Amino acid sequence: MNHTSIAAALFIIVLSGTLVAGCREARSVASQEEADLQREFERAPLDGSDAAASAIAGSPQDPLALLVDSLAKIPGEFESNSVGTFSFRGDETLFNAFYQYADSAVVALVECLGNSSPARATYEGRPVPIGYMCYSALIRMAYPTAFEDSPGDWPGVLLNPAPSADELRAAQRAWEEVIAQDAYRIAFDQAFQDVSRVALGVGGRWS
Amino acid sequence: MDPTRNPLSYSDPFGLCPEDVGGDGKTDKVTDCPREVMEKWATSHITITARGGTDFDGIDPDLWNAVVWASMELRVSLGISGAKEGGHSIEGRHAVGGAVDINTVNGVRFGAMPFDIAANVSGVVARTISSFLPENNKPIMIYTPGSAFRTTRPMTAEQRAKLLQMHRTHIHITVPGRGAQQ
Repeated sequence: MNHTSIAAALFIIVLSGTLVAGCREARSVASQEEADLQREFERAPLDGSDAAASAIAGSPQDPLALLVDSLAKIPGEFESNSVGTFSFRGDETLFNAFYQYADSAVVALVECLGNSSPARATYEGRPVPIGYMCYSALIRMAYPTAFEDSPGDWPGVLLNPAPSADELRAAQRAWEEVIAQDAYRIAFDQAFQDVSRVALGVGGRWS
Repeated sequence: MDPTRNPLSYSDPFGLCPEDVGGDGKTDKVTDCPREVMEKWATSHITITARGGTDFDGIDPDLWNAVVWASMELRVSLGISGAKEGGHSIEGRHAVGGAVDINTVNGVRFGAMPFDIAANVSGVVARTISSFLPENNKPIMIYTPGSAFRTTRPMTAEQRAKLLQMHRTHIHITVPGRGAQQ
């Protein structure tokens, strides 16, 4: 090996070291930024549109997981309504952000359904369980086909915003069974079938 | 005109029908619309939102006509999330073509509407559909985000609350079928 080769080899080694160090530094800065962002997110009380926008914009966390976590943080209050169910008074944007994730959202919301930790939203002045927030999002996008028209004693329905831990777990198990059997329907807004083919068919709808 | 008239067996020779639903504007009754006008309206205003599609061939003809007439009467598009299909409870009558689920109005999901709006809009749509059903095939169940009604047996407050929650996303209407004991 001559002097030129040795010099070239040394140059490459030094350059590699600089690049590796540079990358480490860059990663460290990125990690720091991610950590700062995460801390800022965790600190700040969110309204629904903030959380949805943040998740969609691409956060270091999985957007769907971030949406689920955000349900615990949105302010608002559940109130009894005129028909005997409970309406959410607050920004409802976040509840509707799950829809775009279809089946993945159903699974994630059911996973969260058993969570009895307190959320920021309240009912009669007390925090509702996080699981109830997930339930509220779940029933805005999906329903169990076998039970929707005759729920009977099916435990998947939560009758008020202050369910016990046992009621949450029972609801979670009921929905897990529905998912396992693929016995639910998501109420989509896009077209899956051409009506004209059916409506105009001879011997079909109009005969 | 009798709203139960089958549009296939009757075609108004003058095409009497409101202009803004595709007719000639000589009357304001959507039930006067000839079959062709109804078909054209349905093609552009009835959307199948059931993933994987749904079966319309065996659905109760009174119910289907009433859905199309309601869409015309209200001048709105409706999304059908369920028609004749298995997997539902027996009493809902989906399996025999006696029920329909509607989950969008003008492309907006009931689930995405605030409760008060969903309850109000779904109520108007359900009542309009019911008004176009013949007396011998009136609904025995109407469940919406804001109301739960059935004729088959009394309902407790708890049952009503459960049904309302299970229909936060859609309207369900069951008819008994003509000739059925109501």
